[in-house]
Amino acid sequence: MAQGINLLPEVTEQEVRKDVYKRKLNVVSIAALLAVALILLGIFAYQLSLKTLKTRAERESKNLEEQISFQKEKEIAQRALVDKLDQIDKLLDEAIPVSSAVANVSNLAKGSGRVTITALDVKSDGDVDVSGKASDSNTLGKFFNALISTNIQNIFDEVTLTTLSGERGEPYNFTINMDFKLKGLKKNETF
Amino acid sequence: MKLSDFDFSRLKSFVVPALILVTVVLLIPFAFIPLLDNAKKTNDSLKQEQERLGRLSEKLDFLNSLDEKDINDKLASVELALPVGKSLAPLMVGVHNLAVNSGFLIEDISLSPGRVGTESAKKEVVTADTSQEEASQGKSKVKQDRLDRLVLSLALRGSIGALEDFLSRLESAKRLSFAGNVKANLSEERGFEVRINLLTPFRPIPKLAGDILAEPLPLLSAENEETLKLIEEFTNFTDIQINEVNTKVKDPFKGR
Repeated sequence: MAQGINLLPEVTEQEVRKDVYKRKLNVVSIAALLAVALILLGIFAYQLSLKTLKTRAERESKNLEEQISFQKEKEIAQRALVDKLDQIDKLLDEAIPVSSAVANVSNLAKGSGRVTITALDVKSDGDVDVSGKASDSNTLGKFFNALISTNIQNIFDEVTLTTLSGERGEPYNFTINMDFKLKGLKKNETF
Repeated sequence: MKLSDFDFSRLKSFVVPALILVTVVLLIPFAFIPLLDNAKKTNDSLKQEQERLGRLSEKLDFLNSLDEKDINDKLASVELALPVGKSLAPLMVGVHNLAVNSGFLIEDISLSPGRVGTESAKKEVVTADTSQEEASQGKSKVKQDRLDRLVLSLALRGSIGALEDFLSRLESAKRLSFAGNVKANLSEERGFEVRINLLTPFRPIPKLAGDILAEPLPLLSAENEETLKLIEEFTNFTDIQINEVNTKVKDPFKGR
């Protein structure tokens, strides 16, 4: 008989495909594992290089710190100098030039005629009380107007006649309150 | 179909891929992410270290360019204006001499030192018109500045002209002194009776904290240079030699 008996079981197409898929799955899994391992190795290497750089930077910093420490006295002097000058700047900018307040009041009184200052009170916030005597109302008016006019120069502001008394034939007694506006000792304005 | 009838040998071929999948999944949270975190932290700390290195290098270059003698000379000049300590004796003698040279008769010079002085200074700083909020800012400003002030109370007798002259000399004096409240009252027999509260600041060396080595060195600004020129032109009224004698009083502020 020409026909033979095939003892080998028939392998279906499905089973062949299954084998192919299994092989592919194994390859993909191993490839994935290798990829993850490579990435981890890469991260390790990156971290190692960062640590090396950091150690080098720390060493250089230490060297520079030593050199800076040798010049400690110079640094302390420079810091003290700048600190004091900053403080002095602040003090000079905020100080009220009381001499200018006194000089302005005194000069304006002299310029107004027969005005005698009998009391002067300059407070640290620039509030000024001037008491005095004026020979007559014209003289007092001249003095008061002179004080008001200095507002243009921003020297005295809010000038107020707080008290006024006088008897016929006697000088007028007055008290004037005002704000002295000038601040800072770097420039002085005297009218 | 029962579990006992299931052919587990069919699953043998899937064991390796399954194990690999599990390993990869476990590696992500337990190895991958912590490593990334560590790398990030190391990178951040490297950046900080490099920034610090840059600051140190800049500071060293600047220090090398400074002339120590020049700094010390300027500091000596500035010290006369705003000393480290109270320097009480030359101050009182100097103020006395200034007042006399201006034409005043000295009736009294009294002193409020240290913390009391600072309390007075706080009152001087906080003005009557200031709101509470501004007042607290004014008070805290004095505290933060750590600027101590001696307060001298002067009782003088003279003229308005003498007062003008005295105040003007003070305002151009090297040892910084600021007139607080000034009161002048005319007495027919005695001339003007003048009371002045004189505030004379002094500044102890401020304490520095933290990483001072890497802290950049402060520079003199243009305003600082101008102020330096200005105070160098001021008159030094405390340049007085005072012979020290043993009074057997250790601390005049506390008594024996």
